[in-house]
Amino acid sequence: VVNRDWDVPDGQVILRSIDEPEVFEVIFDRHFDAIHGYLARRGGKHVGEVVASETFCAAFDQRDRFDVKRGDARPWLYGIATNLLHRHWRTEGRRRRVDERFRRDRSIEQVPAQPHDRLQASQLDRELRVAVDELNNADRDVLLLYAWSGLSYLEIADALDIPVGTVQSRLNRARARVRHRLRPDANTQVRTSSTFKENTDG
Amino acid sequence: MDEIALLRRLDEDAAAESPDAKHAARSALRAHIAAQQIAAPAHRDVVPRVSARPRWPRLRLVAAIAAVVVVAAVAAVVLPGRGSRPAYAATPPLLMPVSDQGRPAERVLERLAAAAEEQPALADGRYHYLKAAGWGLHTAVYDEDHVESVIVPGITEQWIADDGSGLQIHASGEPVEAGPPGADADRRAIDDLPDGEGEITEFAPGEMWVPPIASLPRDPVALRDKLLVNPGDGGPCDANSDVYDPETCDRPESVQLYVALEELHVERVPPDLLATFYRALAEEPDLRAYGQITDRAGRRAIAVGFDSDYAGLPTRHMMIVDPDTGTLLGLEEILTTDPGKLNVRVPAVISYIVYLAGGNVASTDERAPRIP
Repeated sequence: VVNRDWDVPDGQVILRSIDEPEVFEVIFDRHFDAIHGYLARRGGKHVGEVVASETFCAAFDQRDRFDVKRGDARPWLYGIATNLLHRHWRTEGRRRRVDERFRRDRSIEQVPAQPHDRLQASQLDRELRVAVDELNNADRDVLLLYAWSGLSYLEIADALDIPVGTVQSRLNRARARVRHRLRPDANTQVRTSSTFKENTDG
Repeated sequence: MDEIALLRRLDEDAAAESPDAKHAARSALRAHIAAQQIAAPAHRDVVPRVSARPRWPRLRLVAAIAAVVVVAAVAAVVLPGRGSRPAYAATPPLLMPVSDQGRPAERVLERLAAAAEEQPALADGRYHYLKAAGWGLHTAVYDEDHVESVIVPGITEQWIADDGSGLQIHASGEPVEAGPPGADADRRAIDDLPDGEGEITEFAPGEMWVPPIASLPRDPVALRDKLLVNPGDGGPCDANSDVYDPETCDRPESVQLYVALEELHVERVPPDLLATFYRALAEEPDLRAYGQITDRAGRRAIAVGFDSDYAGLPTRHMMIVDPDTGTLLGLEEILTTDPGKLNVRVPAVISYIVYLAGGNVASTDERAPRIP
């Protein structure tokens, strides 16, 4: 029987789960909603469900590699989730490549599913989504982890296994590019963008 | 409001908690943990799937396979002293000997094309419905001399609308041991699978791939041109392309056409397109006709295919076709001479799909008739 209110750090729970595997469910209870929410925002409802489930199975398999001195498992879980999300998209990419092959003559209007085209969005949301989509994967991962996971610079560095300085530089670059995309002629003065004002004021 | 604040409110609703998703994920985790505990004593990584690439009827088998391991373990505990078993995984029986090299398939494919051409067009309907059976293989290794292998049949029903929305129901059957050569065990396994029961997944618009079947050319040359990789067109062979994929680029033409045929079959393919496809395949010199067989659903069929080692191991790819109607009844892949690192004894069937029913229907409450 697993005590779900067991008030000990994640690291200790994971350590105990080495000998008592069912204890790992405490980690699931503590963090599933957050990981699922992050993945659903990035990939949509179905991808969120599939990859979130895979994330906790993968984390269970890798639990003997978790540094138990780290109290919080969130960075570790977000890192696994992000990697699995990319793997999922690579697999999906095969499907899209098939579609591309079928669409070679451009006479077919079938549009493959894309991670960010699922909602009818406002003009600003659409532009924001395009701006994020135009980032490279590395910059996008840092930006969205920062915006959506609540992780600190250090924790993002931990999640992605990169130096904290790289997190800062990628985040700065990503933010600048998004800002520029939202209003190309204003550099950092995003608030003066007429498009921005129309959509946020209205 | 800066860009971070804007991002934080973007798609907030998508991050809402989902009790259903959490329940399903918890079940999957529990099955995964149970499977790992059982497989751990010897080899944790034992051939849960031998197929090199996923196909849609098997995509949702993983949790079910994990659960099956528990059954195998219980059997081992309750029935001690079952004796040593060879360390080979059970695989489905062959439908025909692989020593049969067949004969050139050009004329057979032309006859199949003519048969398909005579069939009526599929009825109209909002949803493309397909029901197919596939299988998963799980091997639990307790020690070097004690191996438990089971075949887990799975059945998938799928309704796809043209906007990419739809519904999928997947059910796993009872594990079956590899029976004596012949199709009876497979037919029973398929027949025993529940109809309309199983794990239900709904897909929002754009989440399911809809093959552009209506737009594909009904001319064999044009169809080949469309389906075969065209180097230097910004496609899979162009290293600068977004869709660069050397694996696809290096595939022989026969493999490319076979894969395309499989990928189109997320719905029932209209007979006129099948006829065109068979004529396009007839241009491939390595296509062989292997003669008449009985398929895994007990239907009279003819097998056409080719041998290839493009994926690393010598493999026979077979299309199972109704000789009277040209309807594609199934696809099979068989390792012929070299198992590589897989613990199967060659020749070994490593994957199959049986198409059981298909057609267009008005709603997800309706099903198209069984393919006779």
